[in-house]
Amino acid sequence: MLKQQQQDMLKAVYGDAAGFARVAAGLAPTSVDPVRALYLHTATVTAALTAVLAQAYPAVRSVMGEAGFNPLATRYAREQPPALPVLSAYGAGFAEILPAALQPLARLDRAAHLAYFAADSQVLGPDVLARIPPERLGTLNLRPVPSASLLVDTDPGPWLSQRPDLAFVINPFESPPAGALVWRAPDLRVAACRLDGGMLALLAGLTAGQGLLPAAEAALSAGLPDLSAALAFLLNQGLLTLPEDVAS
Amino acid sequence: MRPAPSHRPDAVPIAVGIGLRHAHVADFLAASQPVPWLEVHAENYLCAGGPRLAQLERIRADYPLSCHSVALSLGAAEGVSVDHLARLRALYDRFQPALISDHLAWCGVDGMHAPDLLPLPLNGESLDVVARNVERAQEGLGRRLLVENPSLYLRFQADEMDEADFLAALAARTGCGLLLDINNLYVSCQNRGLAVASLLARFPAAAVGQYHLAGHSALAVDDAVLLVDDHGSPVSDPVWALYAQALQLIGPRPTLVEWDTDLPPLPVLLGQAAQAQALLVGSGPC
Repeated sequence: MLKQQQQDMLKAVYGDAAGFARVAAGLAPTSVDPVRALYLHTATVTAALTAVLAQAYPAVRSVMGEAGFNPLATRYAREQPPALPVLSAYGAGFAEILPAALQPLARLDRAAHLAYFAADSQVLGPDVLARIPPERLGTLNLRPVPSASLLVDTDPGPWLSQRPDLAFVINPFESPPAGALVWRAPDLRVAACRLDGGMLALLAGLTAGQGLLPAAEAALSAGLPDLSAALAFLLNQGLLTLPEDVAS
Repeated sequence: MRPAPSHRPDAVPIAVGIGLRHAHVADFLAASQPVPWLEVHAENYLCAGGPRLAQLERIRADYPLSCHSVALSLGAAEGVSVDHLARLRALYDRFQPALISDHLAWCGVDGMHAPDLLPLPLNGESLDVVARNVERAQEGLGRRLLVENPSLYLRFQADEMDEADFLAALAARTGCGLLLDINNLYVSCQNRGLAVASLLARFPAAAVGQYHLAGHSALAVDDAVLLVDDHGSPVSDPVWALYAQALQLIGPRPTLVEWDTDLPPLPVLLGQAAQAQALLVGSGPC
């Protein structure tokens, strides 16, 4: 009995007319029309999820404006309600319902959102790397920090102009641009930079679990001009985790 | 940022704290604030890492903490989520809040969640469900839970009792405590046409472990008025009066002033807390 009523009410708050009618039929009179009072819950859920999506996709919202963003957020909320009560995880598929021109912006917003909430990690610093014997370097299992996201064929420039809250980092290996990198810096600020093809290949290899040597070979083949300088950039930006065998 | 102090205060005193919201975090990181304890919404900190947890670590070092969750779904017929309990348990084990609480409400079924405190009929079937869920929650969290009366906008034909009797029975059956939200009590009684003094008198004093205070708004609906618990304004005069009555009937308890929408500068919120503190102190020895 209670479960059926809750199934109906959940449908009601997500805009299902039949569920709404079944719940309304079980309400007792109050000073305010019970149907209007029930609608308050529908409005609360819609407003809460719209706010969650606006917080997760600030650049998209800024470009679309409230009048353009809110109807799409409402549609997404009704079609894809959250499965979890942890709302920072909500909205993974929002980019898919946006116009194609806005999808790169949404994916960058999503990457920044995930970076903000990503797990902490111990960062590999240049001083630690300098103490590792040269013969071990090629086999090191270097991994990007958990907050890092690579976005292929994406220029973060237009997005970053909408996100003054983020750090735009100049990468010496960003031209010609082949993608974007978003991560959370050691000072906990979310940062982004452009990547050229070589740097993209290096990070893609490390992300895929390749050792430093094969990842570097792929990067050099893709045009990376200076491996040492590229590694120095990654280390200085706090982009690599301390390998377990080095930490111990 | 200030250096982290070496001690971590634990007990929440019988005094007036405030709900810590993101917009005020910088104020707390920059300087010590004149407030004896803080409460956070637990679900806002259920993340793997990053600035929020780091900031809360720093602030927790200086202030006793209460954690108030909104999504345990204690009224869910299908039971509380084991996964959500585990997430909250990890957070509570890390931050060691002196008080934890959630609501007499539900927010999900069949793997679908709604970010709202949805009501349930107040009857024997619901009492069985909520009692079972509270017991599982207290066991899973390893702590005594305070259950809060939410703001209610509806009455069900299946209601058999009011929330005071329901919560008294729940506390007796499960050993849980109660978080008496004075604003919610006022809003619910106004919306449902119930006598607030009668309900207040039937809250079991021994079980009440905390008060909440907040503002509400009035929404004109046809020829009637619906009070909406939006936490977006100062505490109203009737709610201040009801708080004074609660202090006399139930006694002094840790009290929290909440403000969630149209958030004012921190001094405004601290001013509301000072107003509540004056009533609390004036009610007798704490």
